[in-house]
Amino acid sequence: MPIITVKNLTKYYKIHQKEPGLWESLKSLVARKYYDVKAVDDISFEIEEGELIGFIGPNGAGKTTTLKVLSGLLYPTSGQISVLGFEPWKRDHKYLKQMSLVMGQKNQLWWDLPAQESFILNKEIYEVPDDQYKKVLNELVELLDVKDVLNIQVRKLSLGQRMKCELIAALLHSPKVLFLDEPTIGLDVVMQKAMRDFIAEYNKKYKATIILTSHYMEDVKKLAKRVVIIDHGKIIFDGKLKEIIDKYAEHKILTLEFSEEFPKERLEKFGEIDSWEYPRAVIKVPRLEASKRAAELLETLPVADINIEEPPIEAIIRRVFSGGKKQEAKSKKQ
Amino acid sequence: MKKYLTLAKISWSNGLVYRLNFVMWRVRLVLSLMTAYFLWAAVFGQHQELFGYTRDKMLAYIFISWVIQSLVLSSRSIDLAGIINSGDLSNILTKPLSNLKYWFFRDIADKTLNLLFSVGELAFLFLILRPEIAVPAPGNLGMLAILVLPLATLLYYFINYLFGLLGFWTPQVWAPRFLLFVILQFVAGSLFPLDVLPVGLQNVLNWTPFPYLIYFPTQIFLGRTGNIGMVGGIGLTLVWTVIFYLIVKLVWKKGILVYSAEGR
Repeated sequence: MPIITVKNLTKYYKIHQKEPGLWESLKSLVARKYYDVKAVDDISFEIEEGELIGFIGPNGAGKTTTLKVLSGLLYPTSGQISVLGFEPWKRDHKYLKQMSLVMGQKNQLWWDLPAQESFILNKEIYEVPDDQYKKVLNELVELLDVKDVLNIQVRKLSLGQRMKCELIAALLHSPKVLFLDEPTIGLDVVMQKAMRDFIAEYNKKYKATIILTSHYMEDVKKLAKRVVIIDHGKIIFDGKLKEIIDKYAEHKILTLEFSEEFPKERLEKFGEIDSWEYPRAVIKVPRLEASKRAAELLETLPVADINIEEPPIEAIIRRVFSGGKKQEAKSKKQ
Repeated sequence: MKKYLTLAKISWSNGLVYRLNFVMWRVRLVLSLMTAYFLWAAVFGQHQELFGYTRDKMLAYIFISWVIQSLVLSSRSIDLAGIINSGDLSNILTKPLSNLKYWFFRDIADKTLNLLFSVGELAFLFLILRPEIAVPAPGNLGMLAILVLPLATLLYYFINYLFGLLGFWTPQVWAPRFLLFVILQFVAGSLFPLDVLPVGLQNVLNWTPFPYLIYFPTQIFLGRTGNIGMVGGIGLTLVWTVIFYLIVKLVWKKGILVYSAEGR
């Protein structure tokens, strides 16, 4: 039985359109033109309990809109959504008590007070019993290592410390479903890793179902087994991260080291040269022929070392997006 | 219920963070009272009676209406529109909270804080202005405390909340709110008692919700309910409170559908 079911979800925003210029501004006072923006356009997916899923896509792809619909903030234009058996937009308190939404660029902590005060307020809002509150708070504080900052005004914390406290505030009621929208945005590499480790740990320890959106492929690579790629409001891929590579990567990357110099042309016939700087060279070869080409290389050229790799996931995703656009352009022509 | 009390408590501590801000706000209020007070003192000059008021009665009105204003009109829910526009409303919507109760309790926190501070000011103003205020009949005082003031507070809360909800449709909520302030100044009775106006106008105003925010409660304190009468006034306050409550419910339902949780 899936915990989250989304069927044919569509969300349009009404946008008020205005041409630049004073005359147009005056005109818009009288007659406003509106047009619909399809933020999410007919998407469907299911998520099982305890899954940790990564949503990726460029800015404005519809990731955040999807999370907002799932957390009950937005009313869907059409489609059926069920989370934990509830329709999110009704905002049943029984649902809200089991759910949490964290937005990397928004804060819920009271800016002028120590984080501790916001925690106590959340404890009361979610009606968490005293002993459970103490236990969970201690665990979270321990895991995130923020013991020393709980009594400092939130406005005086660093971004990293604040994000950690934001996470604690969002998790005090031990939500079964957690929506994380860009939780690592703006953080430095060390802090990103700390966040990532924490999310993984939390998912494992509490069996929480988590949807995560991020711009950073590293987040998704480290955390999510299953990835949903969204672009222009549509799901263009839903499956294991590894399957993206199988499906979309056309090349493998061969990194070579040579023991003798030789003319560049001799290497060119094996594949496309990415870089060439004796004694190192990097070439791209068609995926299926990778091992065959490598064998030939070893036979014909003075190879000292060879390494076969998949292309970086970022490059593949970029291809997925640009491919998507090309297809769209084609279908428009027809 | 406990969650809303904790909310009021944290709202209090939050209010106290900006002490200077708060003190300046209080100073402004004291100055506005003194302005109205001295203005009326000057208007009376040598006259003993104007507009059916003796000098002392008028100054008592100004004084008492000021105290009632600081209870009825002080609010935090003035932030609601801004919070809808910035998308921070999401913080309330994603929690098991009622937005209507949330802001009500923040208002209560604000009001108690203001009341607490005004006690000292009152003593001070009493000493320097020495208004002659007769102690009201115990029945009137009881009515004020348990019915009239709570209702006036609630009525203003719903009106104020309704203006906040405009934030769902437009970011330009200051113009309508400013208009509300101006209207309140003239027809709620915060600058002058409404019975100095022509009778025809008074009769019209009596059917609007505004006199019941400040003018009516003040008159009960001073023991001059005039042509509305105690029961009529309370009845109309109640009717308007219910009407505004229903409008608020309806507008909220419509607004929440167009809420786009902006800011990202």
